[in-house]
Amino acid sequence: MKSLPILFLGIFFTLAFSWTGIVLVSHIQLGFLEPATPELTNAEEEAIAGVLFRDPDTGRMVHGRNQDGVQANPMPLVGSAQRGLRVYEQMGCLYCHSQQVRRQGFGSDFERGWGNRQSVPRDYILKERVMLGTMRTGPDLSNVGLRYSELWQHQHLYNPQITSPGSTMPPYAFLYEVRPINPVTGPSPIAIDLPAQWALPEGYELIPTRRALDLVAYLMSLHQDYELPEIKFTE
Amino acid sequence: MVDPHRFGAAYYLIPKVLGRPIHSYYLSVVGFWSLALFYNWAGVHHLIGGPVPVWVISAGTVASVMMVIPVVVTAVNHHMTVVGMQREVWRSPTLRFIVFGAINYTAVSLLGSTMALRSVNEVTHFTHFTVGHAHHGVYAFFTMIMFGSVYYMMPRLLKREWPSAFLIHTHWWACALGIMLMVVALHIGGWIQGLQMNALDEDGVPVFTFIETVRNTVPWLHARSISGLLLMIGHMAFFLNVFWMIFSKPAAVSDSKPTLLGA
Ligand code: HEC
Repeated sequence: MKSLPILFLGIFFTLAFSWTGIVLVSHIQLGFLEPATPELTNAEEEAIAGVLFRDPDTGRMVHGRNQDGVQANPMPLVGSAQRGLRVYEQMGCLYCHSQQVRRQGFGSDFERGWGNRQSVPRDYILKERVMLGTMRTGPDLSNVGLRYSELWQHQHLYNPQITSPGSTMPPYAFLYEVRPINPVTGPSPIAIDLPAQWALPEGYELIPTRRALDLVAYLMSLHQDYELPEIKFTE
Repeated sequence: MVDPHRFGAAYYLIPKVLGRPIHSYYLSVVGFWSLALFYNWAGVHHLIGGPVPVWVISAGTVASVMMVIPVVVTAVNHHMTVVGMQREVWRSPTLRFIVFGAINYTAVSLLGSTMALRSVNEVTHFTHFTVGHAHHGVYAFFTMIMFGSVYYMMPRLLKREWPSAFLIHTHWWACALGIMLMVVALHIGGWIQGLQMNALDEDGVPVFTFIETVRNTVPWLHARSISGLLLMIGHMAFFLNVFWMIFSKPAAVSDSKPTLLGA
């Protein structure tokens, strides 16, 4: 095959082309992102609009600095919530739930109350695994930590029909344990209350396992209710 | 990324079984290089509306539309090679599956390019439409071509014929009807789901609650379950035939004629 070098070069070129575009250029554009305060300042501590400002010494555009004494976002996941991400991954929640809010005017994410601004790359920089998702059999979960109580989350995971009749979400009852109430110590402080209609037999209680507690801690940690230099709340 | 594999299989087997050269060598070269150039870029169309820079999405949309070039070129090449020999295709188990796959390749790719347009994607993204599209690609085109390839390879590797034309028929009809049912049900159900998800009244309030849109997908998902059942029947027939072929006594199947399907 005399055209083998041409074939090789051609394949190399086409792969290098897309790799440069999608991977390298995106990395140059976004690779430096760090948690940021809603507004950034220039070298003189004056607030700037957006993300970049012109350095007076070098004349180059540089990234603004975080304001002193203001919370920078996003914040890292810690402890139980961090373990809960693993449970979310293992349970396949990703197949039915997205974690990305689209801008107002593109779909109905804003109108459905899934978020009051579009998700941006910076929201994800501290996530060990990015659970963007491509399917919404169920609602978007970017801000689900702001919508429900822990009790609601437990009841819903134990059996979605309790909170959402007609739901097609599978029950995750195996993350819970039905056990007899200890006659000496009485009901456990972490037992989950169920509505009368779904009550367990007399003398039994519903106890979340470690994994259920972690998963709910993770769900409660999901929120994008802060502004960033590159994105403000939708009016 | 299953495209390159099946390109190999279809480009090899269609001319081989029909005993006639591929329609145009030149077109196949155009198809190969335009595919290599555009396909890598097209992947980002899964992130339309997502948290990535807008230029990435625009590039992905452009590449997805440019994919029409390799698709049309390949379609012309494959379908023109077959034209006039439909009877042979219908009688050969290999080609029946492969040509089914090739036709679906054309359909799924043109649909895919359309789905990368922002206005269409706004409806189809995050719905069962996309799920249907994925199965259209990986099953109706890729899997069916792989089935066809296995029908070609096994007799040559084992030096014996397929034991049962009936089982091939069953495999073919259950899988072809099953996957078509799945694709149609998920496309229609997903499109309705997307429209209902996005519908807003004059005050900008969603017309359907989320749980209403969920309940409205259920009949289409039942249709999908039925299609899954059909696919399972097809796979069982295929499995039986393969099992029978491997474990039957060589003498029983050695110098027989190739197993063809009646017209
Ligand atoms: C088969 C698809 C499917 C899977 C898998 C799934 N869900 Fe759901 N989920 C749904 C549907 C449909 C709804 C909407 C109806 C409801 O509230 O139950 C929903 C709703 C929710 C809600 C309420 C959201 C809201 O804003 O009302 C939460 C929270 C949730 N799911 C979490 C999870 C978690 C955590 C997992 C993994 C353990 C999971 N889901 C797996 C389909 C699914």
